[in-house]
Amino acid sequence: MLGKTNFKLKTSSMTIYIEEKILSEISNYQKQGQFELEAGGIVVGYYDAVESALKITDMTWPQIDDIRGRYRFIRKEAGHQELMDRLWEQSGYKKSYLGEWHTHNQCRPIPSPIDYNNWRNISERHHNFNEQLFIIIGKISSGIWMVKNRKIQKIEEWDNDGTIM
Amino acid sequence: MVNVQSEFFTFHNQIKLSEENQELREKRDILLNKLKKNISDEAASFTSFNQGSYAMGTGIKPNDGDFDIDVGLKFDIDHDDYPDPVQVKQWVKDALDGHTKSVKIRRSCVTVTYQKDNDPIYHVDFAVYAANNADKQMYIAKGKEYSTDEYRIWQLSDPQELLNYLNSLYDDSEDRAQFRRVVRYMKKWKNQHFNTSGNNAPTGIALTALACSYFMPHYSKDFLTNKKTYDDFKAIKTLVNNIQNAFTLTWDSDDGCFYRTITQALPVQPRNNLFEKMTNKQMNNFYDQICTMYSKFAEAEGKSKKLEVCQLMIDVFGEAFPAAVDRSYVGTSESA
Repeated sequence: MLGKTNFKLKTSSMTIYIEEKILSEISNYQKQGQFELEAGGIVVGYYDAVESALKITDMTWPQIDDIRGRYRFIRKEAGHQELMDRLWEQSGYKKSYLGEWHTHNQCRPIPSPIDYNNWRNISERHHNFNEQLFIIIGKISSGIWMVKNRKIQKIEEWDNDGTIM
Repeated sequence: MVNVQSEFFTFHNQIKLSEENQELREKRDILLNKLKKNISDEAASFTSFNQGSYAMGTGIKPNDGDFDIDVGLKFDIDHDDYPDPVQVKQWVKDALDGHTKSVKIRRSCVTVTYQKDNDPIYHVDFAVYAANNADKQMYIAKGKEYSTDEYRIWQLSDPQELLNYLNSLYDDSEDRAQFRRVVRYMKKWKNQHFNTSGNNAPTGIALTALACSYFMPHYSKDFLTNKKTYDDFKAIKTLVNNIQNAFTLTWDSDDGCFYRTITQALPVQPRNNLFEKMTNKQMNNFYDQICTMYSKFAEAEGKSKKLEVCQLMIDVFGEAFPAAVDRSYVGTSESA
């Protein structure tokens, strides 16, 4: 169980924390959200110098220009960029784009070939961090992947009451 | 090189302890009130003033909440009438004894330790001056209770002189502001990397004096508006490089090896060497730390991401330096 604490993930190169707030948003979506149409947004966080860790603190929800289909989700720039800018400013210029999240209408999320290509393409853009993080929310469990230099690595999978799978 | 000037400003705001600091003023005033109330009738009248880093605008917040406050007391006396300076220091000690946690007469001041309820302990150093002398100069009372006569002296000392000297170094007040910022950065670096017990670390005044000798203002100037844009990174990097070059090799016959050592005189009277209490080995450690700091600055110049530069600055100055990032461009994303 995750309880009230942050979710701490260790990879070979870094430590990642997912804030409690994000975990409960994901778990609430699993309980109440709809999976017939895919949803998604960006994942935001900052580098915590005290812990030497990346912290996931915010995610954006689908915006009006985004295209939600049964088997696809196209996230546009509009809305998400403005939300990102606001988070950046309000955090004293610490918060950054970290990656993407989207839903799958399946119990356990399995990335599609389109997802893999998309992640690799995104990781080739200029970012604040060398690693990008991608979350897929399934109906029962969610997974997080890290992409660095086009290499994709699954970090963790957990179910909606927080049990690591 | 990524521009991190606004991060330096944020960092400076985090660490600076200014004269207007409320907490500091309250603490100082509690003790000054006790002193005024309890000082014996035999004592001469006095006025107080801020001295030290607070007065110079180079103070930083203590790491552990243990404030050190420097206050000067100008007694309305001629030092010739009081051959024993410790007698005058005794007035201060007696007035505060029993009202504070401890009072000690030290060589150059009376140090009062104070604690109220569960507040953190703080220290106030009272420097005692004879201010009404025939020669119109000021003299500081030196010596301890059990010192022999040769250590009980009135030493010519003008606490304002260092401040005047600082103000004379740079005509532009903005240049002086950069000087003060850079001195604060150096002090914060010291707190991060040195064991501050004994004489392991250079003193705050030694770092300030080094800056007097080796600091140069760094800025770019807009020739249309004449407005200066300051570059604190370049300023501290150049200062550190100059300090590094000021060390010389000294043979230490006790340890049987060469050490890098440094001397730096206080730029005003009594012009004493501010590194005289450090051993050669301690100075060599200071040199090593200076070299490490310089290498971090050199590394930062090769970085293209703001966060990477900030991470190197965090290595040097600690977490008070912000881990800032560039604006993110979110682009688009197509998932399935």
